[in-house]
Amino acid sequence: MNQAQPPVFDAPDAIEIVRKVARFLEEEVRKDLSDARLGYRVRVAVNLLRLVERELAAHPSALDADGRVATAELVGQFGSLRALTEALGTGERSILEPDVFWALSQYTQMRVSIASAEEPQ
Amino acid sequence: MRARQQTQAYSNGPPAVDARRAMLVGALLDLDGEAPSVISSHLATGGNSHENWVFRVRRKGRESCLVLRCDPDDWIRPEEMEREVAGLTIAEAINVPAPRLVASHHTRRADRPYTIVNFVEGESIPRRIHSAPNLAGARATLAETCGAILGKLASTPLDLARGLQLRDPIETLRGWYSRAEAPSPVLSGAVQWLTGSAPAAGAPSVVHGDFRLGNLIVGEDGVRAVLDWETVHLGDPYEDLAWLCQRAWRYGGAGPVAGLAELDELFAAYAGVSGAQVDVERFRWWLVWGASLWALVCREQATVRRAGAGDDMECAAVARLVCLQEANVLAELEHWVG
Repeated sequence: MNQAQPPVFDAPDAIEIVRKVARFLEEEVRKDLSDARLGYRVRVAVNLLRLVERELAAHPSALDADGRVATAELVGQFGSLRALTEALGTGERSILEPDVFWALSQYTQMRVSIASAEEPQ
Repeated sequence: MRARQQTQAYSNGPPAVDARRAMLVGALLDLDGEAPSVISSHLATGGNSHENWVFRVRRKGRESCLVLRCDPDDWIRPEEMEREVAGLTIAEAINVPAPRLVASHHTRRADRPYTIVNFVEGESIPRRIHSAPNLAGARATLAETCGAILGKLASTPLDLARGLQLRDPIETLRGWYSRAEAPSPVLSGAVQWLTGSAPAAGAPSVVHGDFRLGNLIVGEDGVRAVLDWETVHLGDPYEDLAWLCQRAWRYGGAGPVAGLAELDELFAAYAGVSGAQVDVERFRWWLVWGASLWALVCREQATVRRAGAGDDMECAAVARLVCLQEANVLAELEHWVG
């Protein structure tokens, strides 16, 4: 018979901290600003924090050989964004090769979903 | 297309209205033989990296509205303003709707090149063109009108286009690409493919160079003016056809033509005026070219912001949005994947 385990204390993780700071800027700082330019910049800051939140939440996406966020498929097939870029730039690989195109589509879709201004689900 | 932060244009403070008013009054004095009286003036929003001043004036007893366009103090670009004059002159000669050129640095010199044109009433903001109830009729005919305008441009007698530069699409693309701070796999692959698959150049014709929603003034009666002729050049007319249909300029609309209409309407009107049927595969190549160019422009914009006004935060936001343009490149390339 399972017994409820007592909760283990844990400080807020990175996602939660970023979310809290974004909410503070959005709900407490921005509404009291009369300077339109500053208000705009606060909105940009909030949008960037939301983006960071989405990027953190996007794990487990893979890091490539250079430590850049990529997809597991792209890293597994090509090693790193740099290596793929070089192969495409020299003509060693073509962007129209189905495996290349598919890997780039997945990678770009991941980037788009992180960059999207929509609120994280 | 400008890789320049708007606020940088005014880094030395707001432009001096007195100096611009003097520029306008001097030009009209030369034209009319008497000085106009300036009733009001304001700096229009938008206008990319140029200053667009709207003046209400009384000339010889008649009121009218004029637009003075010039560069800000710290970014004078004589070649662009020369092209603006050339484009407006060609538009008038071939009866393409555009603001009428009233005066320029050719009629009276000033401390920088400029144009003065008549003000064209109407809507230029894309999302309003998409949604305003009173523009429903204009939306229904926009693709046909644009096709006819581009057909006229493509048929322009070349003796009217003397002085325009011939622009090679691959050289242009590679120029932007080489300036990119760091290549990306999507753009690296796209530029390489475009280079290897470029269609044979046809006879050059007049190309607007930035023909899209945002550079059109639309009224209830349809397209009233094509703006921003500073990128006019000689090249392939498919550049304009495909630029109008870029995903970046659809503003959420479903139709491939400016988000509003189907390609058939555009192509039929173009063929009807130019006498040339559109080669769809060639058009598709130009779609990839346009999407790639715009992605490269956006990348440079992020870079320039980084090096420019010191607003690292906005720069980061712009840089992170480049992937949206790269997604458009891939969407256009999908047709070609084996």
